[in-house]
Amino acid sequence: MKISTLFFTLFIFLGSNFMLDKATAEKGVAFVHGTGENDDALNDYWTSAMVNSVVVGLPNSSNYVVVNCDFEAFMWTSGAAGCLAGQLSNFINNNNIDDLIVITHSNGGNVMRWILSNPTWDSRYPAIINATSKVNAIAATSKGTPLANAVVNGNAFEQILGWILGYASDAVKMQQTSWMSYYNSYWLLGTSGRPSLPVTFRSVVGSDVDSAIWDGDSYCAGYANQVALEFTQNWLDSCSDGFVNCSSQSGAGSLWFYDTWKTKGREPLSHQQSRRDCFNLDTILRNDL
Amino acid sequence: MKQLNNKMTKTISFAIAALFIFSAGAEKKEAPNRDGLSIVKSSLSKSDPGKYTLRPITLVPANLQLPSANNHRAMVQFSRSMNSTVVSTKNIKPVKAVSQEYWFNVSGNQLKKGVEVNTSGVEALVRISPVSSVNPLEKKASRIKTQSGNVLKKQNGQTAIDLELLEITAPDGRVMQGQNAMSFSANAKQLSTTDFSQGSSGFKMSKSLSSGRFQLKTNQTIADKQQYTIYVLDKNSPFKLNLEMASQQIFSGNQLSAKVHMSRSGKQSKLNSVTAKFIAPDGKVFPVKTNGLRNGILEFNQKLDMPFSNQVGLWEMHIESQAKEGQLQISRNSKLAFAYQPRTAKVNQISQPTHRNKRGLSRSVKVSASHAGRYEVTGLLYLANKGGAKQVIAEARTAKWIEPGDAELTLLFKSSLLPKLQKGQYFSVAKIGLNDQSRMSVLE
Repeated sequence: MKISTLFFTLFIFLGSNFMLDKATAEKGVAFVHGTGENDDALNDYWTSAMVNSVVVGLPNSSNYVVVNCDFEAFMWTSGAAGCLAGQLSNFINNNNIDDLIVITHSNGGNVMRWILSNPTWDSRYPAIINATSKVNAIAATSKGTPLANAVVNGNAFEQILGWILGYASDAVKMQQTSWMSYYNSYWLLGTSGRPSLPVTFRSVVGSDVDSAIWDGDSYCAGYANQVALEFTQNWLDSCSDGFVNCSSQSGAGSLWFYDTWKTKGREPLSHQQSRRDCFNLDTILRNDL
Repeated sequence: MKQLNNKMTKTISFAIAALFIFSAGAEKKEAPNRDGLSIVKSSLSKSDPGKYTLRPITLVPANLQLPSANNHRAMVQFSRSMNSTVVSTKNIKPVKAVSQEYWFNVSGNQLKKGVEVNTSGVEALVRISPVSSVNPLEKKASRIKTQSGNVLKKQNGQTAIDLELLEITAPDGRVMQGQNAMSFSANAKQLSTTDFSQGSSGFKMSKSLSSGRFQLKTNQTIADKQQYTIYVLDKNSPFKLNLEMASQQIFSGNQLSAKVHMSRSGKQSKLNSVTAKFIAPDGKVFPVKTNGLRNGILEFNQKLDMPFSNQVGLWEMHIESQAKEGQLQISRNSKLAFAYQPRTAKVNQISQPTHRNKRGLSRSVKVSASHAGRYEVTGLLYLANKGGAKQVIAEARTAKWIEPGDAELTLLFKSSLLPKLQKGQYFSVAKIGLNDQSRMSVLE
């Protein structure tokens, strides 16, 4: 055999191995819920209709995980980021995932951003960062929300008790605007004036709440929730999803889209609707996989 | 004598450390040493981004009890490419809160007799929340029916206010209820899906009621002793309370600088009274001593020497203020969070020279710690040339558990992040940072 033929054969062999490696790259999706302590986020937070519709877009539609953690806790705690890291690590390792797309909602974006911003906090974090190709952060409270201020404010007596006894959850306290201002300035990456995050972090922004009783769109994800969010929107900017201002939702990473740019009928997504299969949000997320 | 020797040694070491000026410099030559490492020789350069000056720093006493947020023991190294123009490892900036809100507590008895609420703008938002008097962690919600038939939540004897039974007396004397007085309302059941405390209900005042002195009175059967918080967001008021803080991170022994002032339609307005307090992460309250108002403005610098909290989290400065507009009292509450930090460690020495081998380019950082904990060093790698041009190309971080005393952490910029150097180019490690991950303090 000529040497050139040998090299050619070796080149083809190595090349095919490389191609095989690429072909076997595993794509997966993780759904990360917002504030709250969840043990069945699939049904209680996202709904299976939403999750099943999104994961159909995966090459292997069983490659997904719905995270269940205690996001009532501060984002850095073992119950929050530690729990998220554990469930993401298991998912990555058990399924050989090397192309992970993380879909977060609300405060879930902060917990994920904690992991991305503090890679040495925990020995599981670097592998998660390396396996993550992008984060789609829906309605993230990246710069906090005045509503969290309002929840804690006005409870002068209660607050003193609460801080001792845990009435207002740590996660709600943390999502106050001046708290997030501190964490964004010192511990989290990706906001204006700070270094970029190590992976793409794209925001999906909900811009309004419809609660007109005659409007069928007000009933997606529950009419009562829309009424509550329309009331809480009074604490917020005119561009808000009833829980978070648009400026906070787009406050970290890069903007992917405002709801009305892509939703069916250009409908706005309230904070409740942006975790449900409302107005084709599920299809938009599926087509992005 | 031994103690004296130790002291002298420490003093000399400290003086050397304090005078030590580190500057990453121009790469001259790489020669493998006995360990197989290449040593990148350096020289001083004023324009070098790697210039680093060690300052004398006093650490907190080692016997101080401090909480811990991170007890992870394993060493973790991480590096990544970076082409961002923003390379500041922290973003120190003044912080400001603007408030158009206030709140106060009343009893059920007072609410049945009628309580005064002042607004200086139309369509103010009012929220009424029953105050918990028992351990909220043991709360057990039960459903009750109010006189108007609404199903509301009742917890541990607390009764939510039924807005349909709330009577509002407008500044012009009109007495109204329900939709005539409220342009929008949400009862406790509807608000139960929000994070507001259980039993909260709220409404927006009808625009036709104008602004001024209102009276809220309930016709509901509620316990006389039950406490309620009335929260008012006067969103359309021209009066805004401004609370400004020079920095959100203050080390113990350093000063917190703040300014409190009222503005009316953007112009300076006078405050009549202000009280301030600090609230620790564990809920302990510390009054703030001020020299009082000067021209209706409060400015103060207070040295922070409070005991550290036994919980990790931020402190808050709370402000309660009053101003007068004719006969109308304008109340405003505000608050800002800040980190009150112990200096638990300092950078003692940054190794010179930088080492390079197959794994990458490394630089060691020696730190001294007063407390055991998990500490992280961070650094940026610049590609520089003799002409002074420099560009950040990578970031490295290393964290590990350190016992009290001296320790070394090594930053490693992995090989894949290192471009081949062109003639006249060199690598420079700079912006060395030090974080205490256990106390969540950004130290350097």
